[in-house]
Amino acid sequence: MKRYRIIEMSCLAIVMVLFLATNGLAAKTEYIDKANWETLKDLMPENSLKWVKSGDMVVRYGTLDYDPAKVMPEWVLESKQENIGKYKLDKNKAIIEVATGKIPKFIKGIPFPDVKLTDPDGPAKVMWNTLYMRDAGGSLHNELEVKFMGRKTGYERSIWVDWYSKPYDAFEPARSEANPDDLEFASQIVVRSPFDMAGTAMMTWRYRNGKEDMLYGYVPAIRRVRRMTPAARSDALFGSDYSQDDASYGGYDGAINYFTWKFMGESEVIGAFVDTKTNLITQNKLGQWVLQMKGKDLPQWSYEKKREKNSAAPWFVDSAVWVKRPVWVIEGKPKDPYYNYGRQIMYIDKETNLGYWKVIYDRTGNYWKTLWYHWANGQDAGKAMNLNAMLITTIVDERANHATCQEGSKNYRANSPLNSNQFSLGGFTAVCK
Amino acid sequence: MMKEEHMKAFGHCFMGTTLLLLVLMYGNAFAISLDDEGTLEITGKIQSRISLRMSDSEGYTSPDTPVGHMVQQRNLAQIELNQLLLRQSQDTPEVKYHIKGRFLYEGVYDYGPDEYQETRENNPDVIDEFKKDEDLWECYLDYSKGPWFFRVGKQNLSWGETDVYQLMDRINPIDNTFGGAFEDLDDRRIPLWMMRGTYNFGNVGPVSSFTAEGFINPGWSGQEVAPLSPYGTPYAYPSSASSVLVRVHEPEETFQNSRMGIRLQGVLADNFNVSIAHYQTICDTPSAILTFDPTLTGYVAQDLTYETEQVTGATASFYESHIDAIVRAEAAWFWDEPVFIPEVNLPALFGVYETGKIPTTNMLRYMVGLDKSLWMRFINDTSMINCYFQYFAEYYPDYDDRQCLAVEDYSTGGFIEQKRYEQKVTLITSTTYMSGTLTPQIVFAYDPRGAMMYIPSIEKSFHPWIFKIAYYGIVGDEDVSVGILKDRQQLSMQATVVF
Repeated sequence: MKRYRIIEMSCLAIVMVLFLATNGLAAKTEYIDKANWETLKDLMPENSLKWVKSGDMVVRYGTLDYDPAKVMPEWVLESKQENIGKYKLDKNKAIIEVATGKIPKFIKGIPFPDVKLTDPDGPAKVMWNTLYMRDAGGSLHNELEVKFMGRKTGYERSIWVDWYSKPYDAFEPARSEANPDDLEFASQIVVRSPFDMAGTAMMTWRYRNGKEDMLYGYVPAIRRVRRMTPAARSDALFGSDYSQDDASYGGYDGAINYFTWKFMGESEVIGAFVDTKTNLITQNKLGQWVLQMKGKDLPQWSYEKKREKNSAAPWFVDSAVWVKRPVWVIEGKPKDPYYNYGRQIMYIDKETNLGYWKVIYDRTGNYWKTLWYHWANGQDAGKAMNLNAMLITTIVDERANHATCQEGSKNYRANSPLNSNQFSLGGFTAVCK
Repeated sequence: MMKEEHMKAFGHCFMGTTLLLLVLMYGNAFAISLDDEGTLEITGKIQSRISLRMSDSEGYTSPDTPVGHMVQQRNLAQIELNQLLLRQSQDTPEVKYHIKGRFLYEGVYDYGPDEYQETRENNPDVIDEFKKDEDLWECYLDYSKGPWFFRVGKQNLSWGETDVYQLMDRINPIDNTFGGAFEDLDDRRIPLWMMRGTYNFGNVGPVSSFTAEGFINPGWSGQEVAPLSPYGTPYAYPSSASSVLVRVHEPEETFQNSRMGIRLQGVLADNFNVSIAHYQTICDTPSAILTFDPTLTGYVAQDLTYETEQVTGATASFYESHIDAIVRAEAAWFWDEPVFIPEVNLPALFGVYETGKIPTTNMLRYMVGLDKSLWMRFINDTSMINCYFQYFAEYYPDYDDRQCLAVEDYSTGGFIEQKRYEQKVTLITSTTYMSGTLTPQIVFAYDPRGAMMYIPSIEKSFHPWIFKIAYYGIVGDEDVSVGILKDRQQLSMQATVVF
């Protein structure tokens, strides 16, 4: 009898230990608002912390039930070992091989997995990594809803765009792609709605050798593809609070040598994720990896709740979970004296090379805008395929009390079968009206 | 009869109002998706525009229209259906189609000023046909696979680099009847049934993205040409009423008269976009001659003939980093373009009683342009000021000093002189405010011979509504290009609802 008691007690103890262990690993979240805003001191850019302090923003603070540094495409994880010490930057900030001094034919994953704070080229290398993290996800066809919101007006309107991008680097399956123009990637933005803007389109060719971007615009009113000046990348995109350069995984989508980069230090900040769990991805008949968001009731926008509990300014995503992450703090300054922004401060994850915040100052040095991201880390059922999706970005113009949000949760499709012909001059016309 | 017309007008208004209400009930400016994937959608706009004449009629403008009188009350609806039938993969092509219906009703002849109601009463059959239109405006199927792209159906195609004035952009006919030069160029294009294809060769020698494109609008199955404004309508060119029979001749329906052409384009040295093209089109302005025909009453007729024309041209555009601007250039050689020499076209006016001929000559047209976007933060600190400058020139190497424009000069009783060199300068400047919802713009078109058109406009959107006010001002001599329409200055107000 005594023997059975011991076995019974042992089993109970094991169950309790297992319960505690699993419960300890599971994600937990708590709300931080103006009552306990000090909790987030030094974990957010100063201007954003003011939003929490004033009650404008309520943060659902917590942990993820997975390690985001491990939920990445396998070629990125492999490159973290294989590319150590393999590449450096030349005087134009183009990536060259250490061994040959030449631009490599193909770079797998991220080029600089071992950035040091003391490296003068370190911040530029981190910014390259952010661009390669985007490329590592493969060709993308994403339908974006660009939402315009005002503090007083709430939700104002939306523009629907198709975003197509094709990487020639980072994404392992792209290794076999012909790349005679030595492109890092090519992208297209095509406005689908509303009717008065539909058909407006832009195409970018980004070179790997430091040359300025090649930009094309299609204006339905003249029905022609037109060259555009690279300076237009800092102009307001479709009249929104974004510029075209704002839209990338690290907060900067221009040529790296257009800016001077400086490390401001290392730190910890909170970064936003759409869910505490990884998001399921499934492959459709076209071979695309589709992020499954249906039925998840995510994201929940503040403007939809009309300022109920836990909602504040209309542009916040109430359902987002904010997680503490280690970051590089990097300052970028444009070399172009006519660039619309002055210095910009980026907060880039040291382990994932994904951005969380960007603080933008004007040319006179005064604070102007803040941009932040909501990440979704996708994983298939077999945990063999991972992708990092920049699902929502928000930019707030504090002077105008206005924000623009890009949401791509409806139809996020990675590894899209886009061929290079689509990004040729003839192909661009074909996707336009 | 009047009652019947009023019933028709009421019918048009009812249809427009119903469409408008449907859009408002739907309540926003988005395309209406008919499936979850968004592959099938309906989208469109409904627009109403009122224009008031801002200068008194002079010269040959008819009817006489005082300042403040309405010259346009155009109601337009465009409804589009778009469907993606097949998405491209490694093995399958992308196939989609686009259908656009256009419904137009011009109300100035039914409830406008007396002078335009009289125009209709004097010519009811023609005006009743002219004032309304229900058309399958565009209808095409797109097929893309690998380097191939085909678009088959009723469509527009525009080549070249120019704005405001056409240079190589002469493939589709232009409809100047419903708003003349005061309408956007693209709104005046008439879609044609056409097959067009492109093939991307990729990199060939020093040229990257080397693409060949060709099109054909079959001439053997009907010819679409630029229509002429009926006499007495607000946008008809100033001319005296014809005292003889006017006959209009479209090109014969043969393969040889097809609109067709080919273009090669690519990028040189990663910066220079270049293209060369050759095509055949049909001139938008018919050539006029006086014909002696004993079978006619009065023995004389005015024959207006739409002639085919060959165009060979090239374009280039590139980014110039020193001035941070895009430079554009375009030149085209027009082979045997019909010209107007009164002594040859209309010999009867000079006492030679024989049928006139259409003289032709080669001519060169070229353009140099500069696109510059710049920050002027004291004007706008959130969006750039966009400036598009263009210099146009026309040159007749074999100029005949008797050449004229086929436009009567009221002050002399003759025709307006055509110079060997003609030049124009255009400038478009615009920006946006209020998150892109407020767009002021000003357009200048200046002829150094002494005339200028200026079009300040402002557009504000309250989605799904868009409102626009524009003033079309013209100053200078009335015998110089844009000055010919000097007495047609107008103020236009436009409301559009989009969905």
